[in-house]
Amino acid sequence: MTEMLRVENLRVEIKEETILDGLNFSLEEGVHVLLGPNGTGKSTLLGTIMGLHKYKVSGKVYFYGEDITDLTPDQRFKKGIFLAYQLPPAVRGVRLKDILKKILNIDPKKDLPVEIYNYLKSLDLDETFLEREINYGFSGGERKKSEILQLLLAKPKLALLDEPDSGVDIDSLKLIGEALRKIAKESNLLIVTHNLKILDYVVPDSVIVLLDGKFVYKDGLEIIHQIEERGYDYVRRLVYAQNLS
Amino acid sequence: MLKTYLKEIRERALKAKDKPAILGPDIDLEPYMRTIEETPIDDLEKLPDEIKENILYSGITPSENDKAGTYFQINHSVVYEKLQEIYKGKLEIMSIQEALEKYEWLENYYSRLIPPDTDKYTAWAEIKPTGGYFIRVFKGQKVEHPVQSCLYIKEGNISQNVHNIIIVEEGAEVFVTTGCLTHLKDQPGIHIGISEFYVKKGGKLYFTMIHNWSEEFHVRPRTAVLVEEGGVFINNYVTLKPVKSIQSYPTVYVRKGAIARLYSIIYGRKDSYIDLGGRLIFEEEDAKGEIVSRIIANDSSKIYSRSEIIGKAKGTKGFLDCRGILLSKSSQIVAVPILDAQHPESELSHEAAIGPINEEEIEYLTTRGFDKDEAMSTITRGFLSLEIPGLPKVAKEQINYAVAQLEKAGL
Ligand SMILES: Nc1ncnc2c1ncn2[C@@H]1O[C@H](COP(=O)(O)OP(=O)(O)OP(=O)(O)O)[C@@H](O)[C@H]1O
Ligand SMILES: [Mg+2]
Repeated sequence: MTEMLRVENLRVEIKEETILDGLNFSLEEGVHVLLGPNGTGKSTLLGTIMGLHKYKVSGKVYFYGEDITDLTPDQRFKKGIFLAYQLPPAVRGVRLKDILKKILNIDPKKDLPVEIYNYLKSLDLDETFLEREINYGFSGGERKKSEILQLLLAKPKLALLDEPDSGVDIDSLKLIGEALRKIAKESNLLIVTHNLKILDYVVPDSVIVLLDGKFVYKDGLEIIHQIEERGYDYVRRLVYAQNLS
Repeated sequence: MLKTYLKEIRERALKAKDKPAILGPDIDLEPYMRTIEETPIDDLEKLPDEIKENILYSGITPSENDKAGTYFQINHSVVYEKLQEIYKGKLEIMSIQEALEKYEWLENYYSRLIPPDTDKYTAWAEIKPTGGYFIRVFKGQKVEHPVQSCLYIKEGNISQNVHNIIIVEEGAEVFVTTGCLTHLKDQPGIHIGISEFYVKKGGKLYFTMIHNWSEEFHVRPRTAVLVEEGGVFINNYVTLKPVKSIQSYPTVYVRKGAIARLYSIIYGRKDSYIDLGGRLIFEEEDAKGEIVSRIIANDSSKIYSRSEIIGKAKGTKGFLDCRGILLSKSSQIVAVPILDAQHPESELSHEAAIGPINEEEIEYLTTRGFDKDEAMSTITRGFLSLEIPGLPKVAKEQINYAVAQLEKAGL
C-alpha cells in the first residue's frame, strides 16, 4: 500500500509550551481515526499537518513522499489537504459563498454551480445559508455542517476532520455521517472523534491513539472497544510497557 | 426681510473670520480666497474625460438614466443643473444663490441650524460664498431615483465654499448622493461645506456623501440636520482616499418618534488626518438612532472617530458601534464614544473595538486556498462592506460601488 502521510520527530510548541513532543508515525491510504483524551494535542496535530502558523514546529511532515514541512496552509490546500476545524472562527463580512467560490477556484463575480444546491440539501441547509457571514452566529451544528459542505466541494486527497460529530443532533449526525461516507470514496480521512457513532458510517482502516502529546499508538479496530471499556489508561499502560521493552 | 437677515448673518460672519475651530489643525484660509469662473455645459457627457472618469469613484454618473436630477459644480460655478422631466413638480434643484433670490422664506432656514460665527470655516462660507445646492422635495412626493450632486475642484490653491440646503417636506421621500472630489494630485486646496437639512414631519431623507479628495486637501464640512416628528434621516459617509485633513462633527436634532442613523466608512492612508464625529440629539419622546463606524488606518494616518448621543426625553434609544482595524505601526485610531443621558427613560449603549485583523481569521481563510494577502484584502473588504440590517438597498449599493471602484484603482 502507498504511504500517504509520514510524521518524523514532530515537536510543536505554543507560547513556549511543548504540546507535541517527538511524534513519529505514518499512515497509508485509507480512513484513520485519531483518538485521545482531551487536551492531548489532537487538534494541534491536525493543525500542524495543515501548516497553521501559530505553532512553532520542528521535525518533518511528508505527504505522498513530499516534504511539506515548510509549506503555508494555502499551499497545502493546493496540494490537496483540507482541515475541517473543530471550532472554526467567525470572519465578519466574508460570506460562506465567498469561501466556496475560492475553494472551487471560480471568479468571485460568477455564480456558484447549481450542484451546490444538492450539497446544501444533503446537509439539510437552506440556500440563504450561503449568504451568511462565515461562522458568524452559526449554531454549533451549523458550523460543523458548513465545514463539511466546504469539504464536499474541496474534494481533497486528505481530509483532516476535527470532531465533525461533536455537538450535533442525531439527525444531523446521520447527514454528516452520510457525507463522510461519500467523501471517503475519493479521499483519505483522518478523523478525530470522541463519539464512536460516526464510525457506523465510515469504517476505519486503522486507529491511532495520541497520549500525552508524546506517544502514538497505532492499532486495528479492536482497540476501540478496549478503550470504550477500560478508558485511555489501558492504552497508556500498553504504550509504556512497549516503550520499556 | 431676507435681505436684512442676510446682512446680519454676514456681519456676524465677519467677526468670526479668524476664529479657529475647536477640533482639527488650524488653516490660514485667506490665501485661498480667490474666485474663478467656469462656463456652464448643457450635457454631462461634455465634461472633460478626466472628470468623467473620476466622478464615478464618488458614485456620480454622467448618464442620468437612473437619476432624478443632477447638480454639478466645478470650482466656484454651477456648470450644470437638471431635473428629469417626470420629476418636475415633485421636487426642485437649483443653486443656493438662485434660491435666495427666489424665496423670501429661506430666511427661516438659511444659517438657522449652523450659526455663521461658529468658526472661521462657517464664517468664510458666508463672507465668500461660492455655490452650493438647494433641493426641495414637495409635500408627500416620493422620489424613487436618487438626486446626484457633485462638488468638484479642478483648480489648485482655491477654496470651495459651498452652502447646501435640503428641505424634505411633510411625508416626502428622497435619496441624495453627493460626491465631493478633485483629480488634483500635488496642489493644495480647501473645501468648506455648510449643509443644513430639514426633514419635515414624516419625511425621509437618505443621504450619501462620498469624499475623494487628495493628499494636499483640507476639508471642513459643517453639517446639521433637523428631523421632525416621525421623520427619518439616514446618512452614509465614505472616505477612502488620502487627504491632508478632514474635520467634521455633524449634528442631528431628532424630534418626536423620529429616527436618525449615521454610518461611516473611513479608510485612512498616507499621512491623512481625519477627525470625524457624529452627534445625535434626541430632543423629544421616542426619538431613536444609531451611529455606526468602520475604520481602517493604514500608513501613517491618524483617525479620530467621535460619536455622541444625547438623550433628553422619555423612550429615546440610541446605540453607538465603532470598529477599527490598524494596518500599520505608524497609524492611529482614537475612538471617542460619548453617551449623555438626560432623562431616566433614555436608553443609550455603545460598543467599540479596535485591533489588528485577527490572525486566526486570516489563517482560516488560508486553509481554504486564499494566500495571505488575499485573505487580508478579503477581510478588509468585508469589513468595509458594512452588513447593516435595514440599510436601504440604494445606500448599500452606493457604498459597495464606491468600495469596488477604489479596489479597481488599487486600494
Ligand atoms: N493557542 C494556544 N495557547 C495556549 N495553549 C494552547 C493553545 N492551543 C492549544 N493549547 C494547549 O495545547 C494542548 C493541546 O490542545 P489541543 O487543542 O490540541 O487538544 P485536543 O487533543 O484537540 O483536545 P480536545 O479533545 O479537548 O479537543 C492543550 O493543553 C491546550 O490547552
Ligand atoms: Mg481538539
